[in-house]
Amino acid sequence: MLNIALPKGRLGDKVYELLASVGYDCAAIYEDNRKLVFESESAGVRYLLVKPSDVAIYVEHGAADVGIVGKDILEESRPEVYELLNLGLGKCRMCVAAPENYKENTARTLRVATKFVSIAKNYYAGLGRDIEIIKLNGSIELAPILGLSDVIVDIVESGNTLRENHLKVLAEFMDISARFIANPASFRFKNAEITAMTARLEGVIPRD
Amino acid sequence: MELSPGKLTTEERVTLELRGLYERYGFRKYRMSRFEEYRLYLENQSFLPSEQVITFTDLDGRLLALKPDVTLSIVKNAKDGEGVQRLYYIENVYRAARESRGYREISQMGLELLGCVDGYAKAQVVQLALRSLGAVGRSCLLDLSHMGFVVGLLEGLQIPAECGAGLLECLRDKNAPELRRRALAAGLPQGDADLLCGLTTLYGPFLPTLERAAAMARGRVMQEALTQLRELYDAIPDPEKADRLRLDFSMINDLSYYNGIIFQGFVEGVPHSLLAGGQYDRLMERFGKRGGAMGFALYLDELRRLPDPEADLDADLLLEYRDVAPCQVAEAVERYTAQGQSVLAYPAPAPGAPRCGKRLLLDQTGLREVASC
Repeated sequence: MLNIALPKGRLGDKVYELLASVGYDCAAIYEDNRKLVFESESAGVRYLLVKPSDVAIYVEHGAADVGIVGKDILEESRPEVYELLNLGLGKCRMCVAAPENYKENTARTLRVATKFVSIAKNYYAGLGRDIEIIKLNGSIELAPILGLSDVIVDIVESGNTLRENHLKVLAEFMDISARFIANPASFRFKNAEITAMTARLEGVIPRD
Repeated sequence: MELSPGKLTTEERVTLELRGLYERYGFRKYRMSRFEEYRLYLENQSFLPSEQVITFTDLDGRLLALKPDVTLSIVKNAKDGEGVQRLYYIENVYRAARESRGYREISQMGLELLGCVDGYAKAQVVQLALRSLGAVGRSCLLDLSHMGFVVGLLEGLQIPAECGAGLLECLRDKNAPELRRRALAAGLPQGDADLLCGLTTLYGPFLPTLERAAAMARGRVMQEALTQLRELYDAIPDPEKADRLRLDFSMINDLSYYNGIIFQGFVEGVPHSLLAGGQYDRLMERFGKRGGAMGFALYLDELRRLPDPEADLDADLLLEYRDVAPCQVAEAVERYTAQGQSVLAYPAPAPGAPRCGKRLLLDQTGLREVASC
């Protein structure tokens, strides 16, 4: 039995449909209730519905054997897991954005508001730019509007939220999409099941 | 009273068993100080799992560190030119824990074989690694690789030095899509990129995987690595080796220290590797010592994740007493402890509902079993 950490929400729904299409369906998941664990003995899988940002934690600690998680979360937390596939779902970009009339003053420390502290630090370290990080947990777009920060580092999908808040993209530096990950110990002890699941998924995901 | 083996935690039992095992094979216990000059770690940062070390200034002004690693100290202090030294240790090391963003005290047990590391010596170290995993008493796997196989492939493909580290990281994560993308970006032809990505799936039972690896081998360095792996396999006298030994060519250790066989051990129920080791002749060279070196560490504190059946009970017996003299209670407690049982004695009724195998009541009518807890 493979334990699969599935992110709750839109991405999780898409990923479940993908898994169901290759033989890992579990009808009970459609029942309207508050259960968080769904099992299909015939398919040999148990789905655990978890917060998207917690998927990698469940997999790293072995509570789930495999999971589906965004590349942004993997880059931010660097868990010790195997990244077996790029599922190509939930595509977006990690961007630097600022108010439409923004002009950078390179003579002073750049104030960066973001949820992704490590990603932002690494990006600016690569550029050799001195920054001050302002860690926020949501509504990041507000920060430069209110003068809390000069720029933001955040995920951009369609760009609508940025446009509506009069922000523009200054740089795109990371492609984000859902990744299929596995716990290293599970990869060994449940190798046949995980390899089979990887191969089946690989057969249906779009090639880059 | 002596503690019976059944009362030991897995960590305690494994530590005792492994002491006996290592000593039977001629390894001597090596005891060391908890402190070491910080300079040692500064000069060998890439040998350590993390750059962060707990430092403090000694009374004479020297900057010291709480040991984050044992092997560096053993190699630094190894006697040069003394044939073969076989040493084992049980030590605590202090490292930054990624999850909790703080330092942790980690208890380790391991062995080092220094000096003339011939084919037999290598097989002995791997055999003892395998038996160390077996001592835990659960399903276990020991994954092996040879640094020469991967290095030989990278050299053969003429990968630019600046791309090497990123490619190795993808290989370690078994991240074939990203590995392919980076290999193509580094200018490798499609066929070479595919060959490199093939390493991520070169995993499985030892002999069949060795055959698959042989089909990929290009050049003398890769061939030599496979020959050494085969010789090693043949020299291990373990009847279960076909099931327990695997090859995993995506496993990589730091190239500036490790040069030959490397391995990682896993036990069912522990989500990380429980044991890690390999051949690190280059570390000996860095310290100006002659000969080679090979060893491994087993992370004892990871064993605390495994359930200990005895740990669920507060004691074997709960003895409740009512209207009796203290000497009668003491006498009853002594009777059972002398038989090797643990006893919790309380005036009846016992507070907090202790979890015990049996519940006894001592009152003016005598001592009797009342009910199981």
